[in-house]
Amino acid sequence: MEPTTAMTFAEVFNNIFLDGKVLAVLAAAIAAILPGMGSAKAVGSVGEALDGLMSEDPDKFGKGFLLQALPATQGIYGLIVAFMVFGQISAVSSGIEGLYLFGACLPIAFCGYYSAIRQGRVAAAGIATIAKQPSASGKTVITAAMVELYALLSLLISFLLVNQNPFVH
Amino acid sequence: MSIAKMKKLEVWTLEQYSAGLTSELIKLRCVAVDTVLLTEGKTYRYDVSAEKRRFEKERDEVAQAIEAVKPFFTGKSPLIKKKQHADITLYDGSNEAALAPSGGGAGDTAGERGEELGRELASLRAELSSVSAWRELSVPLGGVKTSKTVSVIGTVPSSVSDKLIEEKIAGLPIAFSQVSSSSSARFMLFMVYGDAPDTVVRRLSPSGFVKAEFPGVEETAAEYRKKLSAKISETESELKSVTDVLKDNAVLISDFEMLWDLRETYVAEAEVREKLACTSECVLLKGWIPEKKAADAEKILSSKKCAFEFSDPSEDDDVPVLLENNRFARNFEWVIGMYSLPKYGSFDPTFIMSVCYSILFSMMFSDVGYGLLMVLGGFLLPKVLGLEEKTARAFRMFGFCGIFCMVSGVLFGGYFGDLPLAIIRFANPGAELPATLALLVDPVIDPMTFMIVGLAVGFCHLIAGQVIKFILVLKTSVFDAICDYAFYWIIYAGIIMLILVPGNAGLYTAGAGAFLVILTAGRKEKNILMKPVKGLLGLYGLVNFGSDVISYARILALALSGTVLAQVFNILATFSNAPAFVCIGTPIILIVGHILNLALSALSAFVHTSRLQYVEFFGKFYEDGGRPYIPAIPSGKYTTIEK
Repeated sequence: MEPTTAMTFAEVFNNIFLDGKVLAVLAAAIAAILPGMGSAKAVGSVGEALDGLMSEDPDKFGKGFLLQALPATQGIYGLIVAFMVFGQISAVSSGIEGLYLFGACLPIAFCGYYSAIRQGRVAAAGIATIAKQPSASGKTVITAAMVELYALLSLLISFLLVNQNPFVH
Repeated sequence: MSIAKMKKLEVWTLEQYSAGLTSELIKLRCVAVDTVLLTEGKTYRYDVSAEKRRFEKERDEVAQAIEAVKPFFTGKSPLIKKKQHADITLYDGSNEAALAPSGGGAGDTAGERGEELGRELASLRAELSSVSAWRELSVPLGGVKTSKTVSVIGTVPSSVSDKLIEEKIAGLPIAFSQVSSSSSARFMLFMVYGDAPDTVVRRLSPSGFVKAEFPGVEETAAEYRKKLSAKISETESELKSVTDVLKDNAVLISDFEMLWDLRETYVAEAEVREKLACTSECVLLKGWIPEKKAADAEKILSSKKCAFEFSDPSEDDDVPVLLENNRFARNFEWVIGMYSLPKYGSFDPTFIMSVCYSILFSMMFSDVGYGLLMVLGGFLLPKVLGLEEKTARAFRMFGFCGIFCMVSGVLFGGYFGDLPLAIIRFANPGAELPATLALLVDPVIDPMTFMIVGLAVGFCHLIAGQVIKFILVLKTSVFDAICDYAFYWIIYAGIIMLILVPGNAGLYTAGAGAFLVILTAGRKEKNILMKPVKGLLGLYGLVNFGSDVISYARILALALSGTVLAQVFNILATFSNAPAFVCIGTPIILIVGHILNLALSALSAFVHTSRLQYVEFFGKFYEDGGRPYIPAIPSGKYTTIEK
């Protein structure tokens, strides 16, 4: 005797995955989570280095703060993509559409995470440079910002993929 | 748009006039003094280290005095402090006292004594409060000792009962009683028979006993409290008199500040004297002066007892570099300085770079609203804050970039993102709105077209760099210039025609260019077999150029991130039409969000535009390695002679 009220496994699977909305939510989540984690780790470690520097010379805060702010952008890039996916969730009606959005979020998710951490390391080294050579602070910003390019490129591709979603247009 | 022409200055004078000479040169504000090389055994340096240390010590005393009297300054202190108009060089040893009769010493000593008294007072008060709990104790605080007994005082947690204590010291000849108690602790007195007071501590410390020690106090707690209170009031009154001195001196704070500048100027003079070469009677100074200022210097120097000579720099001289640009371009000089100044005698690209910089910056950050904020901030803040010229220039650079951003905002449709559309959509959800406000192309709606526009601008930027190099090479060899640059341009022209013009005209043009490159790129190779190989390798330049052009794709990425982030804040701000949200949430989200976006996007645009200048543009022609021109000048931390 088959119960008539309970859903079959196939129906449950269908509801969760083939509908696509859950995958779209996962896409937005991964786009916000991974770059956010990377930025949090990087901003945190640069902040620790900056606090160490300020224990010697509190006046260097202004110079170091810029370096601390640099790896924060990846989290924001992730947020932008997550937000764009968020705007499309209600229009998603099949598993393949959800999967498309999930794939579109992967570049910023992974590249954002990794580039934030690597950028944080350069920025923390920059803080050490400022401690010895305050006049080089501008150059330390440039070296840290070089890493940013790859986050930008992955943002670009995630953005284009979500923005030019063939299932929506 | 050029590097200032420099004259080498050499001044000889007699030893007794040298001090006067250095102070005169500092007043001139335009001589960058070099360290004169010594000839072994014939010339030597002034030993100014003791003198310099003295000046530094006196300067630091004034600095301490300023810090000490600052809290007591009751006069008007404006939110933004402007510098005093004063020429510090008009003062010297003879009228220095006119600035501040005490020379800052009174403020300095009073400040030090004040700090000392403050510390003393704090420790006395702490002691007083720790004694308070023992005021019922009738034996001396420092302990009492008879031939057979000794007293021990200390605290136990209030949870420790008399019974527990009795258990712990069972079998020992110890009597105890409670002196007083608080909510958390009991203050206990123990009389120990024999001479082993440590027993109490050993037995009871596991239960939380802490011995209270007042070494050397022979009075009882009540007497000791009286003594402490008297000492406190004595210290307080002394502190008050010290504070009065500080208050009296506080009105002199601006004089102290001028005195600081004066003494810092003495230090600067000592630093100049360190660089001179002396014989037993004669002193030589070498330095650099911009050609335009040479006449002024000549006038001053001719009135002094010295011999001097201006000469043109020779080939081997490491001439310091001073950039001279118009009112627009000079605000961008610091961007070049951050990379490296151009070599003396080479081409100064500041003007061309500043135009390219503004254009690229504005494409990465194309928004009328943010542009307007940057114009206001960039031009007004330096005036309002009374910033130094050096810092003001950085602000003004962003101001000029803001103007360009406003223009590009109209072209690419940025008004705080899509704020006008968001507001209309919010007020009237049914309104039919245009997809974009852009006149030319919107990076969000049509990213591909925008990227092509960006790459095209990048292409022009790179070609501009090559044209500069072409002109520079043209001066030495016309043939080299044509082979190394013009032939490549034929290829680029062919590729562009291939995209834009139907038919094979582009292919033939590019082919002709490539043929000419293959033919000539190996011309400097001596080995005849290597010539065609080098020729083919010459085509590799195309790949380099191509990857440079692709680098400008970042323009799209930055334009997108700035615009979309602004749109995200606009959506958040118009999320709900509940009255409370509209009144409070909307303005807060808009203001905070757009300020955040302005800061982030301006920083990104600044960094990435700089990179495009340093790597892609400068890589084509720039000769770096210039030494900055830093003239010896009087200190201007608190004073300025600029009107």
